[in-house]
Amino acid sequence: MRPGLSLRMLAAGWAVANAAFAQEAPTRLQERAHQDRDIVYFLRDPETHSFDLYHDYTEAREGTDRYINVVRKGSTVSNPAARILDTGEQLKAEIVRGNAITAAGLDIGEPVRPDSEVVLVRFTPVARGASVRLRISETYADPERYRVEGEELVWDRSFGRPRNAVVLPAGWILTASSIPAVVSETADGRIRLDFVNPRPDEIGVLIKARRRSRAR
Amino acid sequence: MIASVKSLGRESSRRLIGGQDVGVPAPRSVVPGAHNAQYVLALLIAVSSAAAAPGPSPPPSAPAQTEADEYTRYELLEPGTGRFRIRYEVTATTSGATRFFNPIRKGSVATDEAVSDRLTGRPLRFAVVSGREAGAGGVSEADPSDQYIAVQLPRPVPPEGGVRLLIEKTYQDVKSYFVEADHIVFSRPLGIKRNAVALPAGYELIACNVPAQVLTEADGRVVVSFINTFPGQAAVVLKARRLP
Repeated sequence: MRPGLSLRMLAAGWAVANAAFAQEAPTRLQERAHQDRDIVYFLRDPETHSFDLYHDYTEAREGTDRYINVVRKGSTVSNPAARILDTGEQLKAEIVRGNAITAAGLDIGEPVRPDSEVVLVRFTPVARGASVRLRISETYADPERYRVEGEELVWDRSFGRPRNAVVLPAGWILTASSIPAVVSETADGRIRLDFVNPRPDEIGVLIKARRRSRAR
Repeated sequence: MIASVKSLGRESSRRLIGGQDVGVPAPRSVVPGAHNAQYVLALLIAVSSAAAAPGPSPPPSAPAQTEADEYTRYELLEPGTGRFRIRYEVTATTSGATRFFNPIRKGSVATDEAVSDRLTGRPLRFAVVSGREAGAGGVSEADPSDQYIAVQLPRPVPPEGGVRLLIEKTYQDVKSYFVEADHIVFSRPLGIKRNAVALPAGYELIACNVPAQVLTEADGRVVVSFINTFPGQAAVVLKARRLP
């Protein structure tokens, strides 16, 4: 589980729905280096408090046929999309809310509230000995953790996965990162920070940036 | 899919590729169920090709090969044999590519190789080719005198996607895995960033020079696992002792 994402991610097949929760709440004694969930955040202008992201993961449990993101209360999600990275096949991604979750028989691992919101992606059930690499793309808004303070962009979120990346909006200069990151420049000139956490815990990532034009 | 370290430059990419563990294959079939003669023929072609073509590689005629999400698991086999099983996971990410090249480390011997498609679990064809061919196939800085395993991909790499491969082999290297006094030593520079080493059954870990997780698997074997967060190789040294 990665609280910092403001959503809860579940992968569940009809036959193995309960097992999904075990995967999403890895114990500290699971092999960190072999965990395969990655996420890349693309920050929009901080005044919007919104960011695009994609997360990749490999589903290898036989019979699993869906992926569910449970959106944390207070956050909003839009523009869900998904595809199979192995083949390029586009998958249908939909937002399901409230009673529709119950009507669809979705087990989201918690009581369904009227304001419950999930992103649901269905795919062909995983065959024995096979696996599928998925990419789920979404847009989130989180005014509390992604904001402007004075003239600074502030990104203040926890990361639970081993590998995360944050790409600053175009025109912003990195001024602070609380957690060690590999810094690079994307082809279109944005600053990217790559975080690798080899430990089975969360890292509290605090990033600050300034507008490029104001720094000159 | 994360390949950020390699995006830092060709040199770092080269180091990572060079750090992979692939030994010179012993004579064997390279196609599941095929006869060894096919392998021998492929090897002869590869060797003759390399011998006839000294000098720098020609400019690649294919897009530069890229890969991501590499992970290697080493399983130490019988102490004193220098042998260990390697399970190497890698994703070919060059859009449109139909082959993937994996370097063979000079002077070593590998056996029992197998390559499979992780999407389906099915075995894949592979052959030994020259560095020149690998260079033409998109491997930057390929030395023509090197050899590569060329994997025939089951489908072209989709745009912004990947073909996930599992390459398995048994490797023998007495300089990397040996017995010293009353314990065994696994000492090897590892270029891949995510690694695990499984000790032989009945051994306890007594030393590890890189910060690592220590886990015990269902069969009782101790596994040492780590992520190298720095650009260079990790010169890993593990020591383990047989339990009484």
